[in-house]
Amino acid sequence: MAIVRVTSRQLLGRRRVIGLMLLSMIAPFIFFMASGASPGRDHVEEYFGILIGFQFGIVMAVITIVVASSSLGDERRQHTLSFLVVRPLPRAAIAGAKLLTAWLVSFLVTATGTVTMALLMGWRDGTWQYVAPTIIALAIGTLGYAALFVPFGYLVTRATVIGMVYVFLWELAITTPLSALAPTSVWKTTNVAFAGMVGVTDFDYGPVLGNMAPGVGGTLVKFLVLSAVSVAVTAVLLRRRDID
Amino acid sequence: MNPAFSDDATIEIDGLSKWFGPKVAVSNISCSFGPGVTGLLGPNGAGKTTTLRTIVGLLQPSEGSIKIHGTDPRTDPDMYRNLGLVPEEDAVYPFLTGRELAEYAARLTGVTDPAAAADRVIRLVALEDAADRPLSGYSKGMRQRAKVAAALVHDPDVIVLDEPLNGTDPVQRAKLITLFRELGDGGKTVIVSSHVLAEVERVANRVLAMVDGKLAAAGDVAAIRAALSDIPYRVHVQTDAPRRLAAALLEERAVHSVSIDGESVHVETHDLRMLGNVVAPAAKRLEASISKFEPEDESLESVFRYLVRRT
Repeated sequence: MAIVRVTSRQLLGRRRVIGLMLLSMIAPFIFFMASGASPGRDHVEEYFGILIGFQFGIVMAVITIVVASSSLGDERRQHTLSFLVVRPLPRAAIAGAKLLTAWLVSFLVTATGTVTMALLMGWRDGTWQYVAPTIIALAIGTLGYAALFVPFGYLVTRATVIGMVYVFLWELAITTPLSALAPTSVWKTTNVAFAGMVGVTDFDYGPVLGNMAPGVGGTLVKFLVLSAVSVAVTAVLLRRRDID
Repeated sequence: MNPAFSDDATIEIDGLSKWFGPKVAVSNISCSFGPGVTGLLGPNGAGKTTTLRTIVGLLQPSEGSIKIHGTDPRTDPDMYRNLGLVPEEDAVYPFLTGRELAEYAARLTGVTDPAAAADRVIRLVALEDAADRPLSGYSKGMRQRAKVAAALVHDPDVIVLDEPLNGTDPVQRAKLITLFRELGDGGKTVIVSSHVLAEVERVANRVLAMVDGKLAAAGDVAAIRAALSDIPYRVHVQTDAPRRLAAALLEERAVHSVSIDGESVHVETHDLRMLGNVVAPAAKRLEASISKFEPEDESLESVFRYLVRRT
């Protein structure tokens, strides 16, 4: 827990938190404006469109990639990794604590905007049934991105740039026309979990699920396995690589 | 017995080499360290930091092996219960206070009462007044003391200190030197690296000198001093009568050789003080004026290069 506490403080630098929180609040602001422009009807389409297309597709991805790649990346850049590694701790424990912190921090930061948007939806339409699926999907999605980008942040100096390429090129531009590749997209897998939880609605998911059927259980298992692999890979890297 | 090896070794290094791509940082070092303070001396870039980082398991040896209490530090993290490290770089979390850094180290090392242990080491390095201020506001010397506190908080048997006196003022330096000596006298294996001979002389009973990644000399401080006293010094003398002065100096016992370059006479001597005593009378006798008299080659690096050539 000591590593989680100190890493949280390291990740939650004032400027970083303000910047990411503002990013997180863009979606509820857009939803507030869009739903306010059309009173007297339901706003499921606007809510789903903004949540899936923008909040999950871009904001959650960007925030989690920035936070996760800094989880070990900051230690490496600030030369504090030697402080951590020269302790009687299994490398997997260090890797696990780093992943847990990255996930918690990115989830909490992204949740400020996401939960606000879900509450706004409830307030506008009086429908509160999307709050829990939204939060659970967010938790699952941030776990997926964190599991991918904690080891990347340690391995390469420009993990955030690689993350942006993954999001904007791979997830948005490549896996959309090539739906067979959709399972390699954290975003689309998160959407699958969300769709599985909310059930049938009027919203047309279209290509955001790729070739996958809605369902939360499979997504959760997939990301838990991904997290275990991530911890194992990070532990091996910490053991094998020279610490500068 | 080879002076590079300790009778009662806690740390054993056998044929250690470390290279980064084509650059060889450490080349085939074999030595050992036992209880007491050992100084690792050498100019910047000699390979001291690489050696220390390899000893504590932060770097993988390219060749050779390291054992601490018979264990390879890279395979058994439990060994770190008995090891404290002060790294050369400013590896501190700027948002933590000095006390929090020590407490964090204590928690990570499994100390039973981290707060009490942190208090103890904060007092030990005389950081009480600044203990509750963030490290970002510390001077370099204070950060060094905070790092020392974090390295000692779990009372390790083996303490590796990489340039721990860098940035400290004379008072802090004296206190830290006393602390390191007390730790060594108390039976702990303490390694202190430095590029300043006088510093190592004050803190260590035994010295290993490194240059260009190799072990240049080893032994007690007196033996290293004796080795250094054999070094020929080069002195630059500027005069308006270089040929006559050079001829006169060649007659002197203190002078090993001379060479002339324009108005400069380069003198090689084994005894700087005696040379100083003969140059002025010789110039007066020859009615020559001297505008410069300065050692040319007195850097620590050249001293160590001499030791390497000799070994």
